[in-house]
Amino acid sequence: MPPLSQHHSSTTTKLLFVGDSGAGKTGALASLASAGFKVRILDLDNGVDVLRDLLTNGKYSKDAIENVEYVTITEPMKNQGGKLVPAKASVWQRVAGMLGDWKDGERSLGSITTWDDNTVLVIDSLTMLSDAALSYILAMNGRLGQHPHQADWGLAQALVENLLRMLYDEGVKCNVIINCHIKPMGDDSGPERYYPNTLGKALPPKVGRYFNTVLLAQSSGRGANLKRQIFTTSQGTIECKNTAPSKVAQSYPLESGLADYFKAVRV
Amino acid sequence: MTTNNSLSKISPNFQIAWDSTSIGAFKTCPRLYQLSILEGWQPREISVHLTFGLHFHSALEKYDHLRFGGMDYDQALREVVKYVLTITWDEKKNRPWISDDPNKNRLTLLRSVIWYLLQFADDPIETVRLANGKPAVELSFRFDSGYTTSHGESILLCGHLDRLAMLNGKAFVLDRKTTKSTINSSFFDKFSPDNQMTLYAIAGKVVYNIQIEGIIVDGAQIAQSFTRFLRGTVPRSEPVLEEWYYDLGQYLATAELYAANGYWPMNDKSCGQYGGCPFRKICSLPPSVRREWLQADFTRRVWDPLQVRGDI
Repeated sequence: MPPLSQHHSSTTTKLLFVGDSGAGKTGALASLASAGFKVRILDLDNGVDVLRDLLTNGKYSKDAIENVEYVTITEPMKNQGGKLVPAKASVWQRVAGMLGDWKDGERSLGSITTWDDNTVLVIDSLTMLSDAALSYILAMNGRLGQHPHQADWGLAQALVENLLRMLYDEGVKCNVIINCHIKPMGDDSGPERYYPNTLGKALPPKVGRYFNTVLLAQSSGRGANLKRQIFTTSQGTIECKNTAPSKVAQSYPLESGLADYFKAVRV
Repeated sequence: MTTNNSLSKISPNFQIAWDSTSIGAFKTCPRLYQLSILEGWQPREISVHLTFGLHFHSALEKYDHLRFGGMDYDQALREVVKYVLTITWDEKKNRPWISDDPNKNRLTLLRSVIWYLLQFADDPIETVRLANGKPAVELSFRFDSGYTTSHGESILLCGHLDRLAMLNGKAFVLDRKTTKSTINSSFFDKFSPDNQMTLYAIAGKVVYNIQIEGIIVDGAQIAQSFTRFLRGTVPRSEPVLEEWYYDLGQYLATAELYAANGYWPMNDKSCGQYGGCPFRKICSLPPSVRREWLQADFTRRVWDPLQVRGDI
């Protein structure tokens, strides 16, 4: 039995990074690249342009951009009866394939289980990943582009949950960040709460258990007064958690926040 | 009765070729395994579920072959309808197959096959073409398990895969299942863990020269007035496969011990599973009269997993 001092939470962060669209989740990765982490992004939102802009504007170390690799995986769309629907559903399988053997052109980085704790796997975002799972189920059943049946939701949820479970497994030694939007959910028994934006109502409350860290990116103010922060503790009805409450600050500035957090929990 | 080639030449009560049915029977109850697999007893009345399932599989296999042979969809559909009507007609008695099950009968079979082919007319899952040019449907497989008997005989694992198919360029083992129950995510949960699916996952990796992505269960819910289809994936991670394989070694060693002793103990906690064991009535009787009752109520066949169905 290993001593508690060697617990993996001091070297590996499995982070669910929540926040509204535009809160700065993708851009916040710049600080990790600048701190020397190898950041490998599965870009399902087609949105890493902001990261490139940040890493080339002189605010971060010059070579930080070399620490970032990304693969954009999106679905071609087609017009079906005036509605835009996926032409095929390959994103889910391509994501699974990348996790098993990360290939970008000729370059192969192997399975994520071979990556070390100086590497950060980023999936951006859970929202798109969830949509990909649902499309995959629909396509498999010959109903891509159609309204999902009740059972389709359960199957797609199971796919997403299995993937989260796999990423949380101790066999994955690298750090994992999944960027995630939030959505309000409530019922008659209590006030509305915010949960990770994924499929249906059963899965969102369970998502947090597959991460040792849940941080919130949030902006306040406008224009010159715009302030972007990363919160490590729960804010209102948005639950956050961290692995070292005695060491981490309640909030960090977005520009350096992820690197600050990673450093704090590794002390 | 024909020879059972799956039995050891040295220890004739021990199988050296195991399929998922044999393994499953042994895991459920060694006595069930002895009666149904080693001795080959089966109820005189063949289960309607088995008959329906065999016909459903066979009709869709026929369709796969026709389409692979270049026949267009409409013609293949007509041929399959004709095929279903033929295989469910008893020439000797000059009457159709009669089933008193309202869910599983000739009409619901025909409806299920037609509806399946309508839903998957433009199937995104395409059957793999084997090296010999044939479609990868109803494939028999066998491979060395890596385990040996105490006498040094190699033990084989074998079975039959319904279909090997590609989805977005990735290969899957497809297994068709019919059920009366509603098909939802709980239906697919039943296959993890599952002896048959795990063996298929291992077979897919070991036997075929393609990277198998996983297993897709192709489910059909057969109701009285409708048939509903849903496909779902059944995940199998490497550690899970390794654990199953390790456990298999333990089961095989135990089976060899029982074979050497010539005694297969009863697991009376399994008698009520899966709608009740067909041998429950037999096992309730005193041992001295069981053989008589078996001969009266059951018939015998050879359960030989080495018999090939389609291609190998």
